[in-house]
Amino acid sequence: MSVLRLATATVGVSGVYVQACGAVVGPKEGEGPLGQEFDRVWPDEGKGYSSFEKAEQGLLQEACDTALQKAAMSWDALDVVLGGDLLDQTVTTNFVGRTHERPLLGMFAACATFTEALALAAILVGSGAAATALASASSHHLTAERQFRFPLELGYQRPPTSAWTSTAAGAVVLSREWRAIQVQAVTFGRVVDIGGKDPNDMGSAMAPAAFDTIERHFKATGLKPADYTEIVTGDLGHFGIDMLKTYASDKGVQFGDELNDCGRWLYDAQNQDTHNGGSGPGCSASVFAGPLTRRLAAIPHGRMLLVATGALFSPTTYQQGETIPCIAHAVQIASTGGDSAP
Amino acid sequence: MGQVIESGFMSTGMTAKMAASPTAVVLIGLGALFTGLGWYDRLVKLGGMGGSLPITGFANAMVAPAMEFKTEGLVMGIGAHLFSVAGPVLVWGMSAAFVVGALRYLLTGVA
Repeated sequence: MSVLRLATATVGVSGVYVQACGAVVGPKEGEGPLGQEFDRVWPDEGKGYSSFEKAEQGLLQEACDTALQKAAMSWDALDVVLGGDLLDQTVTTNFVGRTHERPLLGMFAACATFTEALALAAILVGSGAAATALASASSHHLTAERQFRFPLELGYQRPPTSAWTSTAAGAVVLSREWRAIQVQAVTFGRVVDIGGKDPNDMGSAMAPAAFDTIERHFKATGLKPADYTEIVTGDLGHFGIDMLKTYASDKGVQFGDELNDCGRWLYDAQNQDTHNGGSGPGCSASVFAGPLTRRLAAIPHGRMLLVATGALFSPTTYQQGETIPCIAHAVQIASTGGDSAP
Repeated sequence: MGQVIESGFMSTGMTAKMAASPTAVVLIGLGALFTGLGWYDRLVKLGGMGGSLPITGFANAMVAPAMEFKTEGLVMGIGAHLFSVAGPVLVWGMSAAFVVGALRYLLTGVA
């Protein structure tokens, strides 16, 4: 058996490899510190599409196409596609599904969608239920702003804890063919709500959810922070990652330099005016599918835990005074020593 | 900014009271224009609270949703969303004015 229950919602996986990745981002992400490491950077946010919603679909389509191209596969070779985005009724993922016509599992865990899709894809491929699977996630700054906050051109002041929804999409193709990176274990998160109410401070709200998943993953796998080359959260940002460190040390877990955050990496905090850092499902998806997998593949015996974090609120619940429930899903990958970079 | 425009109008021979209205008109016009050009959000970053205040902020609050929802059509897009930001200000501004006006009439007898 190459898929094994280790503990509640922690599943050990073996024989599942990352065949190829595709990461496509917007112009602001392209100007950030990771800009050179994505497959493609769009010159502007719209790229000639008649609406930003269509632009986001184009972005996701390009990320998936890139991943398949690098894997030398056609869409027809995919058994199943898993993915999600931030928009109501996950229209981006579903509308791209209309083009590729592959069996589609649309999912939503806000900014934790990517690891939810990747974890489930790994289990499907590892169990033999699917020979190949594509996991993806996307977000677009302009479509998300419009849905969650205010109209784009409205001038209002953003507090320092607010995150910048990234224009980014990432896609990963998994199969059982041996490659440079393998999936080792996944842990599905629980919903954690510590009573945070401010949608402009999601990092602080999500940190306890991230810790809960990480702690459960450690317990189930018997690993500790020092066993990882890299532990990367999705979009806790500058404030959230500090919260996570404090939170963890209160519970007796000490993180070192291996702990970092995709949202923190994506932009230059000094010069890009992004406040707490990047967010959105596309943030962790593109950073994983671009820089992270490539860097990990180059490290012998490298091991990484990606913990994407999601704030599960809607504009309605927030306006009705509800607190923000959060979730985090974790995927552990490792380098195999193979030289075919994803 | 407003002072400069007001002084400009006053130099043409208007009194301070007369100059107030055209000043507001110019500021609203500029607010709407800069929003349309996509500069307003950057101005607020620079000018801070000054840019969020009514007059220019109000023009911005009207034009921004109009631009945002134009892809959903003239009626259900722009029409339905035009007041999505400015609406609350109008509703509660007018309600407050009505209540204060009524109280003033009842207490002082002056309409």
